[in-house]
Amino acid sequence: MMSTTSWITSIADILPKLPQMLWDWWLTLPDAVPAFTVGLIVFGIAALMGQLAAIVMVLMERKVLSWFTQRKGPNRVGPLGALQTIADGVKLLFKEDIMNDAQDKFLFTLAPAIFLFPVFVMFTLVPFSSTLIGVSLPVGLLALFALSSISVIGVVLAGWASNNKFSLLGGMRSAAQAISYEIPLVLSLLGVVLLTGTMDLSKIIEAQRGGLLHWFGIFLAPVSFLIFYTASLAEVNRVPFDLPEAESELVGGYNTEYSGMKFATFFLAEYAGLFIISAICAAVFFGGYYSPFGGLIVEQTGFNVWLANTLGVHQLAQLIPQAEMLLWMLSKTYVFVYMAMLIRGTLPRLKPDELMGFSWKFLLPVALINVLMIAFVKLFLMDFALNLVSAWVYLGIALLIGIFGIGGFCLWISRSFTKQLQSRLLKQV
Amino acid sequence: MMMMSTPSSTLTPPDVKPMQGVSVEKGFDTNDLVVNIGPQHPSTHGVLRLITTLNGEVVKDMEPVIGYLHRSKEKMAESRSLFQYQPTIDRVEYLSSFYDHLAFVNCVEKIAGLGVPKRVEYIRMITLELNRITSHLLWFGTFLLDLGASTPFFWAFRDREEVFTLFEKLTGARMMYNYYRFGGVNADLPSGWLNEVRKFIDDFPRRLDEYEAVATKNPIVLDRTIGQGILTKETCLQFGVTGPALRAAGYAADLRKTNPYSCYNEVEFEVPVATEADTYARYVVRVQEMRESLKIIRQCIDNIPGGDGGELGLLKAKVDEATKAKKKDPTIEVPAWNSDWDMFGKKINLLTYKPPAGEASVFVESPRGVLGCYMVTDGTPKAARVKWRGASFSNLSCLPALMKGHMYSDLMAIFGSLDVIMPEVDR
Amino acid sequence: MNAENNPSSSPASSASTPEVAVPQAVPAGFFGAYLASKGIAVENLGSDATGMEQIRLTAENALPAAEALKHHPDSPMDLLLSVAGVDLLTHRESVYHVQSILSSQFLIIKIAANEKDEAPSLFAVWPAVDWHEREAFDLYGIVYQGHPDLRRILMPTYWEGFPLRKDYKQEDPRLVWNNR
Repeated sequence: MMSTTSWITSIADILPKLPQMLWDWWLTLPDAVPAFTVGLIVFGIAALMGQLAAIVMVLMERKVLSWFTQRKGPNRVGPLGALQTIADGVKLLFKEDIMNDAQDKFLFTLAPAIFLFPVFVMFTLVPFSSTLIGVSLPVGLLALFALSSISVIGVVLAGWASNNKFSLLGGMRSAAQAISYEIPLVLSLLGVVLLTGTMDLSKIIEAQRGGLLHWFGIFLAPVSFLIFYTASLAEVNRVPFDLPEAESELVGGYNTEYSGMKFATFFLAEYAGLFIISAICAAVFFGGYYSPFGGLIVEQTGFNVWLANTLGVHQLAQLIPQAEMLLWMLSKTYVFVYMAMLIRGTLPRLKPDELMGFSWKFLLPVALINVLMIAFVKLFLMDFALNLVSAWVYLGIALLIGIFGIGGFCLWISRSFTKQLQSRLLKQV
Repeated sequence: MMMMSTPSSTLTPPDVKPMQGVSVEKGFDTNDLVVNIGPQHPSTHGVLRLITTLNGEVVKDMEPVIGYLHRSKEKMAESRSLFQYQPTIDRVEYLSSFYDHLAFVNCVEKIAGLGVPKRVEYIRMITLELNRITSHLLWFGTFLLDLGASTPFFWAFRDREEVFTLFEKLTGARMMYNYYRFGGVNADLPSGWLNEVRKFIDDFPRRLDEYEAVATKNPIVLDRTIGQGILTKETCLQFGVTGPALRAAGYAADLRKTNPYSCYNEVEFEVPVATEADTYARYVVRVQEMRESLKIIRQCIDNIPGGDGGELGLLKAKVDEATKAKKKDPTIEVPAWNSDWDMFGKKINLLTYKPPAGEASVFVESPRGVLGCYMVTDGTPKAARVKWRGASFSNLSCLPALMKGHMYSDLMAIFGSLDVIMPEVDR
Repeated sequence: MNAENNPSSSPASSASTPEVAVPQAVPAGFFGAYLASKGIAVENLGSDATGMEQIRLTAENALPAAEALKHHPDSPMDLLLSVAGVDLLTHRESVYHVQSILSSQFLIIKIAANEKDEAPSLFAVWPAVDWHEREAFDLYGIVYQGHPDLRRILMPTYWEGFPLRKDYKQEDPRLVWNNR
C-alpha cells in the first residue's frame, strides 16, 4: 500500500502526459469508433438546435396566434413571456406519465422516440451555412425524405399502442395522409433535382448563388415550391391538414392518451419538423444561405476583410460571412414558419376524403405536369443554345402543355364545385 | 344498437355497402368500430354522449344518450314560489336566458292578466335581440372551431363580451340575468345605456363583415358545409325541428312574425330563409339573423317610449315627489307622466304573489328555435307544473337520421350547425 | 372539390321557393268543430289564458282525431312542439302542444291516462313525439301504448320511481323538498 504522498507524486507525474496518452489511445481505436463519436456529437448538437428551434417556435406561434385574435399571448414568465415555453417544458417534465393497463407499454413508450429522432437527424442534413452542416451527403435530399417517412411510423404506433379508438383513427388518418402526400412532395423536388443535377443540398444552394432571379422558387420552379410547401404542411400535420390530431373530432388524435414528457416529445418533434420543412423550403427554393442580391453582402462589399484587417483578427474574414449565411438561412426559414402560422390562423381543417382527393386528384397530376415542363425547360432552354429557334418552339409547346394541362385540370376538378358555389353566392349576396 | 325507433328519413342515403373484395370466407373479417363520443368530448358542446358505429370513417349508426346535465328544473318549480324559482330558470338555457325568462314571465302575466307597459316591452325586445346576437356569436365561434378554424372563435367572443358588458350594466350579471319581473322588469335602463347599445350596433356590422370575409366565402368552409347534412322540411316536421334549421329548409316560420309577442308587430324586420336545407344554409340564415336583430334593436332604440333612462328617472322622482306632496297640498302640479313609461304594469308584491289558478302555454322564438313554457297554477304561490319545451331537445333528436352515411369528420360540422345546447336538452 | 360525388348533395327541395307562413285568425272552438264535423266526439275545454284552443281526447279517438288534425285542409297541424305530463292527483294526463306552421295556429290536446297509467301514443301520427313521450314516461310513468321504444331518457336507466309525480318521495336526507 502506497503512502498518500506517493499517490500525489504519481498523479502529478501522469497528469501532464494525460492528453498525449489519451490521443495515442484514440488513434489505436478502430476507425468506426471515432466516426461514431463524432456522429454522436453532431447529432447531439443537431438535437440541441432542434429543441431550441422548437422552443422558439412554440413561443412564436403562441404570440403570433394571439396577435391574430387580439390577445396579448404569454406575457408572465420572463420578459414579454420569453421563458414561457421553458416553464411549460419544465412542467411537462415533472408531470405524471400516465399509462393504463390496456396499453402496449413498450410500443407506447417507443412511439414518441420514433417520432422524434428522425426529425433531429434531419437537422444534421440541413446546411445552415457553407460549413455549418452536420453531414454533407451527396444524396442529402433523398435522406431527408427517407427520414421524414420514418416519423409516420411513430404516429401509427402511438395510435395503435394507445388502445384508444380516437388515437387509432388519428393514426390511420396519419398513415393515409403521409402516403398520399409523400408522392407530390418528392415529385415537386424532382424538378429542382433535374435543374441542378444533384441531390446535395449545398450544391443546390450554390446553384442559386446568383441572387433573387436565380432562386428556383421565383422563376424557374414556382409551381414546385407551391406543391412542396402544401405537401410538406401535410407531412408535418399542420393546419389545414391537421387531421391526425383534429381536436374537435378526435379529441387529440394519436396523442390523446399521452401525458407528461411523452406528450412533450410529440409536441417538440412536430415543431422541429415544421422548422425542418421551412429550412428545406428556404434552401431548395429560396437561395438558402445566400442573400437575395447575389452572393453575400459582406463579401460583396469587402466588409469582412476590412474588419479583419482593422482589428487584426484574421479569422474574422472567414467567420463573418459564415455568420451572415446563418442569418440569411434562419430568417428565410422563419418566414416560412410564419407563413405556416398565418395559415393556421386563417384556415379551417379539411375533411379526410377531401384531403386524399386534393393530393391524388390535384397535387399529383399538377406535380407530374410540372416535372414535364421543367424537363422541357432544362432540355431546350438551358442545354441547347438560347438563340436556336427550335428551342423557343419547344419552350412554347412546353408552356402550352403546362398552361392547358394545369389550368384545364384545375377547371375540370373544380367545375361542379365552382358552379354550385357561384350560384349559392350570387343568391346570398 | 337502438335505431329501430327513429323512422327512416327521406333523405337518408342508401346503406353503406361493405368493402368490395373483402369476404369472411377468406378469413379476413371486418368489424364496425363503435366509438363512444362523449360525454366528455371537446366539441359535443356540453355533456352529450353519441354512441356511433363507424364503418371506416362513415357513420353507420348513431344513438344520442342525454340526461347527463339533468338538474330537475321542472321538479324544482314544485318546491319554490314562482319568484324563488325565477333565478334558477336562467340555467335552463344559459346562452340566451332572456328567452326563458320571457316565456316564464309571460305565462304568469297571461294567467294573472297582468298588463305590461310599452316601455318594458321595448326594453325586453332590446335585451332579447342583443341576447340573440350573443347566442349566435357563440354558435358562430364554436361552429368554426368545430371545423378547425380557431381565430373566429376569439373574434366572436370579443364582441360577445362587449354585449355582456352592456348586460352587466343593465342587470348586474353577465350571463344569469334574472331581469324580467311579472308585469315589468327589475330596473330601468341606466343613464346613457341606449347610446352604448347604439354605438355597439353601429360598429358591429363592420366586424360581422370581417368575420364573414374569413368564414363565409372560405373555400374550405364552403366545401365542408355545402351539400352536407341536408335537413328537409319533411324531416324537420318529422322530428319537430324548429328555428333556423326549419327556416333554412324553406319555411319562413318565425313566431316573432307570425304570432307576435311583446311589441314585435311594431318593428320592421325580415325573416331570413333559405331553401337549400344544408349546413351552409343554416349558417347563412343565422348570420343573417344577427343582421336582422340589429335592425330590430335600432328601431327599438329609436322608438322606445320615454327614451333614455337617466332623464326619465329624474322625471319619475319628480312625479313621485309631487304626487306625495299633492296629497297635502292639492295645488301642486304633477308633471305629465305617460303610463307607457312605467316599469311595472301592476305593482305586486313578488314575495307573496299568488297567481290565480289557470294554465298558459307561451311559445317564443329563441335563437335555437321555438322555446315553450307550459305552466299550470293552482292558486298557491307555487306552480303546480312548469314544463319547458327546449328547442334543442327536438333539434337534437334528428341527429341520427341526419348523420347516417356521412363521414365522421362531418359529424361536428353538422352537429354544430344544429346549434344544440345541452342544458336546454336535459333541463 | 368533390361535391358532385356526394350522394346527398342534390336534394329534391333545393329548387323550391320558401313557403311563407300566413297567420290566420280562427274562431274559438275551431278545431273542436272540425273534429265534430268529422264525426269524432271531443271534449272542448275552451281557450287557455294565452288564447290557445284546448281539446280533450279519449284513448279510443285519439289516433283518428290526431290523424284528422294533421290533415286539416286549412291549417294542417303538422309540427308537434311538446308533450307534457301533468299529475292531477286523481290521474295523470299528457298535454300535447301542436302547431300548424303555415297558419301558425296552436292547439293543445289533452289525453288522460287510465288507472294503469296507460295512454295511446301518437307516434304513428307525429313521429316527433318520440323523445317527448319518452320524457313523459321517464318523469311520470305514463306508458304510451304503441310507442316503439319507450325507455328512460333523462334519468339513469336504473332509476326507481317517477320523479315528477306528486307522491314521489326520494329517501335521501340531503333532499329537502320532500319535507316542504
